[in-house]
Amino acid sequence: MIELRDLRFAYGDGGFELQVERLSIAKGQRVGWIGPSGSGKTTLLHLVAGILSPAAGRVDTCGKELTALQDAARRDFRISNVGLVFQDFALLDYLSVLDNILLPYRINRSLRLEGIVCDRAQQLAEDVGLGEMLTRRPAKLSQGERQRVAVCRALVMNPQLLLADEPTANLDPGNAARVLDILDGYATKQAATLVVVTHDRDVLRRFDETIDVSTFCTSAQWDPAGGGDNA
Amino acid sequence: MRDSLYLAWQYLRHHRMVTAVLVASITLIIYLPAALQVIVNNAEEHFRSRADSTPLVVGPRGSSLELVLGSVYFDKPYEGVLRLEQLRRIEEQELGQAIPLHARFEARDCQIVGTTENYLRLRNLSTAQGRSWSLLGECVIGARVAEKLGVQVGDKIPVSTSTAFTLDNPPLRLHVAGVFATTETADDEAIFVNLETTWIIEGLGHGHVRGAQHGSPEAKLYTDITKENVASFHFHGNRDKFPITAIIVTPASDKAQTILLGQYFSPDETAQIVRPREVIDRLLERVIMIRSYMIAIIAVVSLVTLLTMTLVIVLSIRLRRAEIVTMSKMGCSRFTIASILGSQIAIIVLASSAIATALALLTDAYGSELVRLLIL
Repeated sequence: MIELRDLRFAYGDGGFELQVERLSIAKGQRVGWIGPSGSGKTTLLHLVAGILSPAAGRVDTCGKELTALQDAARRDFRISNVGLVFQDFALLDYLSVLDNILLPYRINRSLRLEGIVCDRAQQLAEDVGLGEMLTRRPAKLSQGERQRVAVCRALVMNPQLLLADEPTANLDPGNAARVLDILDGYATKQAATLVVVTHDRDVLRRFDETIDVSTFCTSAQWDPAGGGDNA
Repeated sequence: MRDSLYLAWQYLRHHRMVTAVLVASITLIIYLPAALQVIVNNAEEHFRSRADSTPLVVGPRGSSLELVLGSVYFDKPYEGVLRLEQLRRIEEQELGQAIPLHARFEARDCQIVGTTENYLRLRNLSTAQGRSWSLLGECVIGARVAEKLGVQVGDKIPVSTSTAFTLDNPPLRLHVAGVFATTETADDEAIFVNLETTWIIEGLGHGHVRGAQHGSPEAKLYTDITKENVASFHFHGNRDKFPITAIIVTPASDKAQTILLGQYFSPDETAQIVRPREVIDRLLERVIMIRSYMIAIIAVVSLVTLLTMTLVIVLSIRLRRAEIVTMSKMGCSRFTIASILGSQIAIIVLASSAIATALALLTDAYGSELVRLLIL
């Protein structure tokens, strides 16, 4: 499902560098990525999603060699195959809950917004306890509800791969567990691959495998004790 | 495109106040020059058509513009005075038709115009209700006067000019004999009486109990002229010296016009003759110049407004950076992001244009009304 080989990535200022000789994650696997701030967790997630391109090496995601694709093709691939969950929810304040969930269908022409998609979005919202809140704006929701909307948005196009960047960082333990349950449940049901970036070592027991991303970071400026950029 | 429009519309709906301010600003930028153009064009047409139907005007020396405005457009009571002998002078030469006007007084803020039946023929004035005046003290009112004062045939309108009356000469009450059909000209705003009635108003004639000595208690002056007392009305003094304010002259020929125009060149001459069209053209040149200045000012204000709006839009895009980054991460192309932002601007501009066009059409439809309200 995810295959990285001889990957090298550095930001323009040269202050941060990632090198991954080999990393494989099988289809249906649930993996937790840990590491201190600035160790490259989010950067690696973006490389796997095709948001960033490496300076060298190869990235295969869901059977596609992303490093061989142009920007437009990577975007089309990403929106159809990769569900992204962000730490800060990243909901659009002017859209209702339902419209936020359907957002991927409105921003890329490779997805077609049809009735069946709307039904699926409503069902997802029902499943996560947001069925009565479809017309509400994000400002009227609690933190936990917002993150559940963000998770529904990541799941609505039935992705094969779920990438969640610290999805529970802004949530209380109850909501955090609920969000992880939803992601976990989806991955199990759809046999999708789940990668969760987290600082929370308590949740690691949920995953099949835990990878310490800091081992890929070769930057001289990076401080393994926990300093550095939030790369 | 449909999805971009949808997202743009949702954004604008959510930020109603900002959207309303932007739409209002652009609407004004589009509408103001258009409205100015419509109003000026209507004013030009209005002034020119009236001036064109008034070949020559003779009046006292002084401002030709005031003479034309006071005697052709009845904009306010005209203070200048000519003597009736000026009318005789033109009539005796048989150079054309001369129509006297007396426009010095008002009744309930409406101009009273003393004239002859020839004026009604010159302006094609016909009564929509009642009849023309036949008695001293009767009036025929313009359509707007009837509407404004809420009077009809048979009602009485007291003359309100204070200067013409004394305790010995109480205000006359004009009997409404008829209402003219609407003409969309200054005639709609005036009260027409025969020339003699204006002299009664002026105090040059009056009526009282027959046989009573002037100044005696029995010689109480009538304030209503009726069939019963009209015969007692009489004038004092030399009629040739009675006042009028202007004479409209329709020359019999070009030659007659040239002769007439030449007669008023002498420096000793107390009257002047003007071609209203020339006077109005000079006035409109000024108006057009002022319009150009106004359009320049509007252009500068519009430019500043557009720059401010550009700043608002740029700032709002910067504020939405996180949203744009999120969409981009999810798989949205720069083109789609640009099309969402472009759709927002397009919706605002289209809405503003539609409102401005509707307002401009309304302004055009009510152009003459506006000209009357704002200019006349």
